[in-house]
Amino acid sequence: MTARPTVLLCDDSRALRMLAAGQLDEAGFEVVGEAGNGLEAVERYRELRPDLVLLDLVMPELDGRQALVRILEHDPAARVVILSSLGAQGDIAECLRLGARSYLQKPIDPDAMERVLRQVVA
Amino acid sequence: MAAKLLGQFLLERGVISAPQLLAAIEAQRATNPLLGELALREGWLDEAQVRRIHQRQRVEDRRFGELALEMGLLDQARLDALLELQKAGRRMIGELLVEQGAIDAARLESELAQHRAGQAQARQMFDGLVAHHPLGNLAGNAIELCTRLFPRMFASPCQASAVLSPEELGVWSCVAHVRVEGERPLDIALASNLPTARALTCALLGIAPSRCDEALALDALGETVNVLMGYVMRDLLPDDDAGYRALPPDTSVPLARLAADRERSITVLLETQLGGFVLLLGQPA
Repeated sequence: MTARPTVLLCDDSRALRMLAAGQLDEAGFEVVGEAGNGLEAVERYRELRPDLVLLDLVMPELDGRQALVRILEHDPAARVVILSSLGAQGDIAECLRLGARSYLQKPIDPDAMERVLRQVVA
Repeated sequence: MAAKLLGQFLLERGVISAPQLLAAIEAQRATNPLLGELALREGWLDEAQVRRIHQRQRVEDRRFGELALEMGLLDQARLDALLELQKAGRRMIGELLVEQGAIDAARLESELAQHRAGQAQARQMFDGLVAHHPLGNLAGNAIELCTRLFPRMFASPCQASAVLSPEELGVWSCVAHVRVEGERPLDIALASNLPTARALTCALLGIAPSRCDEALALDALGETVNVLMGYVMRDLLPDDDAGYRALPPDTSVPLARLAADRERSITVLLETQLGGFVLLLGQPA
């Protein structure tokens, strides 16, 4: 594990990616790639093999749940944390059952994010 | 009649010019610093710490001082000192306009009296319109959320000003709405003109205007309405985990279409120092 864990940031909102990238940097994580839809998320995971993936649940082309399945098919050890804008508990629970390591609810609390991500990479 | 901030009131009456108002607003921002700015100035917090507190404020909707104490970044003595500094430095916009020579003291007094009277009347009318609307309760709470959240998100006060009719909605070209599906579906939308959307985006993301194109402004408006929707869902709707689901922000629907049914929607104008924007709440059939 590198000193700064690497992160692939996947959300269709450019504004959110900008905000989250700053928060991740301050929390000691290195954003090595971004994706604006689920298909890109899967492709970039294959290219980059980051320590962590932050994956929005609702995205175009391929939604977060389907992207999660494909990432885990490719790499069962992938550490994926789901981002959700609302406590869509059913979807989140399903993603956790499918193998997501944790989830974060938007708006992202930077302290909660750091705690959750540190726990996932530990 | 709409409730207005004093500066806007004076501008619209032709008492001051737009450059004079801008100069006063900038002077006010410089002399009415936020607690975070004061803590930086005193060397008691660094920029990263201030940013973390502001980010938590956006999420938790709590005061800066309270969070700083909880996070162990300030002690009570320093917080008290900062609050005193803030209070001592506070300047009113009217006072600054006089100081800058934009208006004389006697004229300011006279305008203030008219402004107060107008505010009271507008507030009464506004409260009446909101209270009697079928969505009045929800709207009132959502307005309160906006007035608490937006200063933290955009570093600008926010004040509800008027209830708009559908005929008045055409000018608000940047619209982002989120539909919440469930037993009682809900539409929540924010709308502004493009310059205001860009200004809000730059304030939210801390970026220069040159980095903010229209697409980013609309995107950020969508994220803002997403945040607002999250709070509305958590604070105001019945507790039913499985019952409600929010769709992603949609920037393709004109505001007038969302507000077409006046009984099932309410549109409220909110004023900030960055420009006006519209909050819409609707219950789709």
